[in-house]
Amino acid sequence: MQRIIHTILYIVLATFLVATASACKRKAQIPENAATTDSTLDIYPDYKDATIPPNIAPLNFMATFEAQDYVASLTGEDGQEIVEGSIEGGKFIIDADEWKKLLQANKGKSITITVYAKQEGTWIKFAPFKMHVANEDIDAYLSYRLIEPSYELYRQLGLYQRNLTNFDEYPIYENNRNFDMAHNHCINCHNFQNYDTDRMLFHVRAEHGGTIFYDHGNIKKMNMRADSVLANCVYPTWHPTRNWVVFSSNLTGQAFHMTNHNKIEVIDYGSDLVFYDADKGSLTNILKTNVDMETFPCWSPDGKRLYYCSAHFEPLRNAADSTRSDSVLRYYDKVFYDIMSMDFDEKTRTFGQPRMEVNCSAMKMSATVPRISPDGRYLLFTMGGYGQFHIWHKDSDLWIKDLKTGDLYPLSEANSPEVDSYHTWSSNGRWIVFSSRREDKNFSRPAIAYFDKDGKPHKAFILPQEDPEYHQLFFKSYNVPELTKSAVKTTPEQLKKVVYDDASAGKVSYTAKPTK
Amino acid sequence: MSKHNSRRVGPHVNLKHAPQTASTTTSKLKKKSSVRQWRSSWIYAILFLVFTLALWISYGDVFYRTEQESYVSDAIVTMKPLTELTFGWLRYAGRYILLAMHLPIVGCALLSLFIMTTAWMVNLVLRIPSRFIAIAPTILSIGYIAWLAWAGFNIYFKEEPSTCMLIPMIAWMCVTPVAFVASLWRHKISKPLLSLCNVVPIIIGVLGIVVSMLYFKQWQLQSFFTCASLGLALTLWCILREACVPHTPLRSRLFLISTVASAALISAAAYALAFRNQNVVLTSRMQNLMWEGEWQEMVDCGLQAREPSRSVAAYYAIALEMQDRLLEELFNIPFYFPEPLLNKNSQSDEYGLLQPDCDYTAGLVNSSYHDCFEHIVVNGLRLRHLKRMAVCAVLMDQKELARKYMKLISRNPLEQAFVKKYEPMITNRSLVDSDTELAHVLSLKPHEEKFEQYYRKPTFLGYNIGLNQGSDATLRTSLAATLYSKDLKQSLLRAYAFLQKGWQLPQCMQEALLLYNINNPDDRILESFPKVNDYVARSLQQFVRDITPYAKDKEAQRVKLKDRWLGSYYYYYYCENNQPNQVRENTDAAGVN
Repeated sequence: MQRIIHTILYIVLATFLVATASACKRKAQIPENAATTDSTLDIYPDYKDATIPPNIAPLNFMATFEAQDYVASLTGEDGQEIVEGSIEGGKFIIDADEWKKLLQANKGKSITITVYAKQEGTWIKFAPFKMHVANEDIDAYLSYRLIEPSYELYRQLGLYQRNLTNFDEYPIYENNRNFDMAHNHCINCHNFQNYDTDRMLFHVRAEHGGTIFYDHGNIKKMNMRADSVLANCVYPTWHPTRNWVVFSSNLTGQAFHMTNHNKIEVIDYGSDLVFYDADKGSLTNILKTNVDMETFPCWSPDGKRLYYCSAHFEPLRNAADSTRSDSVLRYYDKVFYDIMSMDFDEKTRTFGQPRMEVNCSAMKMSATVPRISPDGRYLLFTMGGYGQFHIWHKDSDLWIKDLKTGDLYPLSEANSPEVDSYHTWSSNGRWIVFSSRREDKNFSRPAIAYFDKDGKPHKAFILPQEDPEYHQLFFKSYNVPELTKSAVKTTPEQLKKVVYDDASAGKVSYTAKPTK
Repeated sequence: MSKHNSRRVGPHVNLKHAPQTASTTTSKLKKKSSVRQWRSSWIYAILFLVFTLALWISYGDVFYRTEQESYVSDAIVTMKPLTELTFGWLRYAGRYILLAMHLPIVGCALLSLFIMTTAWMVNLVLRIPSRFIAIAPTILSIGYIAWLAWAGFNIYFKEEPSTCMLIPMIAWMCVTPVAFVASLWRHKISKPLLSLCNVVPIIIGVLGIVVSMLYFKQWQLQSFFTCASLGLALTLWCILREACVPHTPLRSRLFLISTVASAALISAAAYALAFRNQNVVLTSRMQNLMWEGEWQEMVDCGLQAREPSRSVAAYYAIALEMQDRLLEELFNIPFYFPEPLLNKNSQSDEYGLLQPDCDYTAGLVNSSYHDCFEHIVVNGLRLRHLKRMAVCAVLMDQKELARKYMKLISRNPLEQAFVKKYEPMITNRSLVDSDTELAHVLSLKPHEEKFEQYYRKPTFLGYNIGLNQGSDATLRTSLAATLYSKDLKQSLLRAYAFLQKGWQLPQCMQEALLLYNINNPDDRILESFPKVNDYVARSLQQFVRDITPYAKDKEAQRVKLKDRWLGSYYYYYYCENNQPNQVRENTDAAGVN
């Protein structure tokens, strides 16, 4: 009996040891005598032929081809090689240090990736594919909001910052993780001044509503409503050097399609532009019109010009306040936004006459989110069939206007058949990060595309994650990607203290100015 | 002192006082005790079976529904919103335990095991005498049933679904170490370390730990299940140890009384649960049957209800719609909705129980998707909503989106059958067209492209009342909706459409026409509908005679006329569903987040 018991115990111990040993990763080797095939392996995410920054985190990927085992070789033009075996599910987790060295050694060149797959005991070598390494780095930090692509309701959401050189992501600010009706609030429209984090703002809606301003260590909450201003302040643009912010002030609603695949239509039924002096706490109307809806302001990099979108909508002329939204909703697919600009005199703080930059309405198209490249040459915007909330329009794409030559063209190499919208430049003007729904048409993911010095876009790739399956399993959308050179300098706890302190919130003062 | 050894012994001599041998004495005593005494631990075994069956029979459908209202996956990125909540990791672990309810008999057995072993250990710790040992399992069982009764729909709706498993499991895990110490302290049984009493629990414990370490990748889950494995090992150890200790057996009569009384009480409690929470049971059952396409069984459930709730009525209507019998049998159940068994946080959202499925059945695939998504945003991922969204994505031909949801569903253990059925439909449209349920839903697809806001809420009713054009299938559904909402004017428009198509008017519509005619005699409606049945007209006269004595007492009308008139539109129109604002104006300020 004792012998039997001893035997059982030894078996259990052996099982435990074997299981532990098998969980350890083994060193991979290039298989010898692999049969060659001309077809390339399908991988996810699709990084084939993408141009990538030399400082990006490893582009871990997975093979979608069913096999017993996989090996991948990543080879630079200088001959340096990384060999990786796959882990469960055909995933390749590339060693971060080796990856970094490989990229740095191959700036301006290409890396060749060859994947081997083992099927029925035989190794197959797939045709290699390339990734091109650009010379220029991308800004190290990407900020965004994470929220479900929801309809009316929201629950847990927050602003987050991701270090693009590794996989670290940490919260800038989150609303309550456990639901609390008394403190439930939404956060949106985060913005930074000139790719830096010394100045930052975001809005808080519902409970503890207001706009949070972070300015060189000081955090302040302001109530941005004023009687002479149409509505709350929404889309911001920070002057590149001064503590001035131009906001759009929007009356916004949304409606839900019964059959249309776009599912949701977000409309403005009124919008104006306002100028906010953050040092003085004063708000001034820039453009306050009844029939034109002005939105999405954006400063030029030198601060001498303001770009914005404007839609002329005649039915609003005689519409009562209570019927404005119905008027727009009835003709929602006939609202077309053009891109306009006005010059700005810093001394007198006055704006010049509006000038047409891109006449989209003449093309029966609509533009949103104008963004000027840091060198001032290129105007990047989203164009879709109508309207202004293009994240819900499948036909929306990124377009460029060369402000020097006047050329207008889509970023075909970067665009996808699905939504491509809300974009940001990197501080060196070589990278664009934008929201794309190319994966599944519903959940937005940050896509990164290289924009070379000749004004040519390159194939975009999805934000890399440590687990290559991440984006397929993640149930939130990335909103409003914004690149910054440095990390956010405040903590969620510091921000929360100010958000919750309603008593100390400041109130803007309104200053009248001549309007159009 | 008598000297017995000098007596001569013969067959005729009375040996009453003759000495007896020791073996004779013992065997006689044993014979007596085997007839009269039972091991008290048999009570636990019997009550375990009784409680398992009682739960399974009374609430098996609800438990299965609860498992379907949960979601668990090994992908931490998907589970993060749950783990970030207070006790998030505990809930996460609980959802794995809840998977046992995928087969309700197994889940109920597991629940019963937790309860009975907890009761056994409580008796051990408190040194309850054998004659009272049935009390603890009875109290715990009835207490658990009472909690189920109190929870109502919130056992799964808008609350953490794993709570029903976590409560008994955590109670068991808390009592186990106390029982272990108590047993160790009391009984000085010296057994060799390598005896079965010690080795079996060690092996079970080690195996459990190894499986936890191998299967779960997160240390929090590994820790929880390691603790559970240790708890299991300690429980086994206590049981085996106590088995070695002599206990006073129970006399047969006492054993029977205890067992039968406890079993009776537990069974009665389970029956009371099923009786009180009938709407919870029926709703769950009908929701389960819907996924299997068992329409007739759903209809039967609806007809069983004593006082159908809104959700039972809704699923009854769904089943009729899927069999094209909506207009013929809709009013065969009473429409007098009781207060739903919902807590105050979810009381205002009774439609949340049924709206996604009602919108779906009404052909409003976008709206059904919308409803499901909102629920997921607020309450977290739920299998039930993910599955509905996956089917909606298939119907909308959104392949990549459908694949995403299939992937999420496939990461939930035990859902391969669903994925196997629906995933091929993503790339093969003919499978969708040949599926009777999906084809029926597509036949109801709206013909007018409007926004949800144009229609009153809930959308499946508001749309069917407010639409101006649709398919033939929609015409029938739309007529049912207008009759349900007592909008006779809209019903009349649809009746004209029936006339134009040469369709026969269903009896409920004929009855509605007569009612309309009473209220609007100048319109002379009946001239347009000469085929309104004479029988229908006579029955209206009879109805008027029957209702007249109760003209001023609505409640009396409903009760007194029910037996004879339930099923007729007259009865429904005058006596039922009289709560105001069934179909609400859409006043939502749909703000953008």
